[in-house]
Amino acid sequence: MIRAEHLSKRYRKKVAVDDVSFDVVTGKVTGFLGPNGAGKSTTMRLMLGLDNGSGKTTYDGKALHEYSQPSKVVGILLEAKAFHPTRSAHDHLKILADAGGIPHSRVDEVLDVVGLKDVAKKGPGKFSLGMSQRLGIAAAILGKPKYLILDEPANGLDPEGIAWLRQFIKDYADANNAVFVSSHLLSEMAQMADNLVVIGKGKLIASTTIDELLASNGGSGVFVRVKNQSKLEKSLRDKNIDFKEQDGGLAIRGTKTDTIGELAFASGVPVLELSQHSASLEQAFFELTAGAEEYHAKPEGKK
Amino acid sequence: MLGSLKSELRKIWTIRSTYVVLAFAVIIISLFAFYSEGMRAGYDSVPADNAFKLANLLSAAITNLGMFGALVGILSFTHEYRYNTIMYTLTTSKSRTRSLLAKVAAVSIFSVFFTAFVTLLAFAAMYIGLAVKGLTLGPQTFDLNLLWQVLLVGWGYSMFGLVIAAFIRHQAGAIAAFFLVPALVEQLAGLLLKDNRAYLPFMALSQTAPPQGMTSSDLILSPGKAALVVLAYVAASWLIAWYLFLRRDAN
Repeated sequence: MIRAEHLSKRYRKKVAVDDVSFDVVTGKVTGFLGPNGAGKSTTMRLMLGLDNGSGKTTYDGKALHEYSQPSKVVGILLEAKAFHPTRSAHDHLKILADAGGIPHSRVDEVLDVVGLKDVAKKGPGKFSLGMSQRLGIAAAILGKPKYLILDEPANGLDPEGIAWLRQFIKDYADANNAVFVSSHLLSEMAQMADNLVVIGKGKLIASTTIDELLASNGGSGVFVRVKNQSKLEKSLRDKNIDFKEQDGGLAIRGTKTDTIGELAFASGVPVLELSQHSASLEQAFFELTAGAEEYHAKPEGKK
Repeated sequence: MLGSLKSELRKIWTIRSTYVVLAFAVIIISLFAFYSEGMRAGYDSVPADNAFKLANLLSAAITNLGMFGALVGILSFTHEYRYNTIMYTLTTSKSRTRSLLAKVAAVSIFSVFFTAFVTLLAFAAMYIGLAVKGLTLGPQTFDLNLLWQVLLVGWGYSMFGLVIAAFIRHQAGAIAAFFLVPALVEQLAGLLLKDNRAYLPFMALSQTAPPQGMTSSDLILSPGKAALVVLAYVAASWLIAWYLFLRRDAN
């Protein structure tokens, strides 16, 4: 397990990360969400000791520098284009292999895994963003680390690449590893993450499972349209069930169609429409991070 | 540590700029030694029978070209920040100190190679130049102390370059500073310091391998003293660079 405790980082007067603590559990994919400028990349850099701040991060109880070969503990992808443009992809990985005490045979293996074997001898300066991401993933898995920390790994990947990455990340975590991944693609995150860490303006907003997050924020609920709405409203109030009027019916949070169907029947109210609604991660994300955005866009012409 | 060193050496040898710098050095030293010291031998300013001809050629070669060798170290260090590969360097190594030591060791090894390469090439080019003109090298006086002096000059330039790169980290800024310090800053400081200018870093370095045949009264600092001054600067500046390397964010 990766345990991040009280991570903080300040740039002069601006607090980039403010006392953030969370766990990244083995065997799971933990998504890392937050608006632009929320401090996600800085948090990841603090976890790896790349930035000097306060707090500590342990990997199975030990700080990264306590391991003799850190690249066999954690693999990273923080920036797609982190390579020298004229040094071949193969040499780039050999350099990392040398430093990490990893045999050179592994370089060919990972290039094959990410599908870059044919361009291994080329300088990556002219690689597309997607190819660069693949090279970054190859670098991350070079040491067969137990933990992966990936910052926006899906950026620039084509749909086939995204599907491959999703499956790769899930399989990697399933093999008793842990993946900590940030992404702005919420639909992707919803499909691959088991747990979520959400931050905004440098502060931890939530650290929970994806199901709990969806249930408690913009959570699942029921939409019901009936003939005598006021009668059903009274029955709901009597049962202390919250609801709101929506689209000519009632939206009721945190409940199931069975409950509302039985209540309507007991109240003698004919039901015209009854459906279960699951909140999307996008809805939950917006609810959670409302007011925590660092940058706001405005429609053109509006002041 | 050995793995980090191998990694750093591979970084030097797997980028184009290393070969561009070497090619540049080959061209300059070949022209200088072949033409000026070989083909023009026998003119008043280039006496063919000078007993210190070989020794002076070697010290002039490294004193004038040492800066090119140092460029490789500067580029190697600053590329890490320019292309952000420093994040890999620091997360694959057990400690930042180890990473820095590996860099210093790799650049030191390269500087020894570069010094040997430049001096041997200079000697070969001069010899060919003399042969083309039908001359042979006369009896030479060669003080063996020159070997360590030449090596120290090559290494000293590389260390000064690397430490400037470690301070500044920005590639263009570090290269500019590396050339401006000896060419401008030390020259201006020298106007104020008069004879004490010999204790400035690059001035001291240039006196480490002085032209042969000079008496001690011709030199402000003896080669041994100059070497000690250089070593003191290298040690002190690396202590600061080490502290900064540990404390700064890696970006």
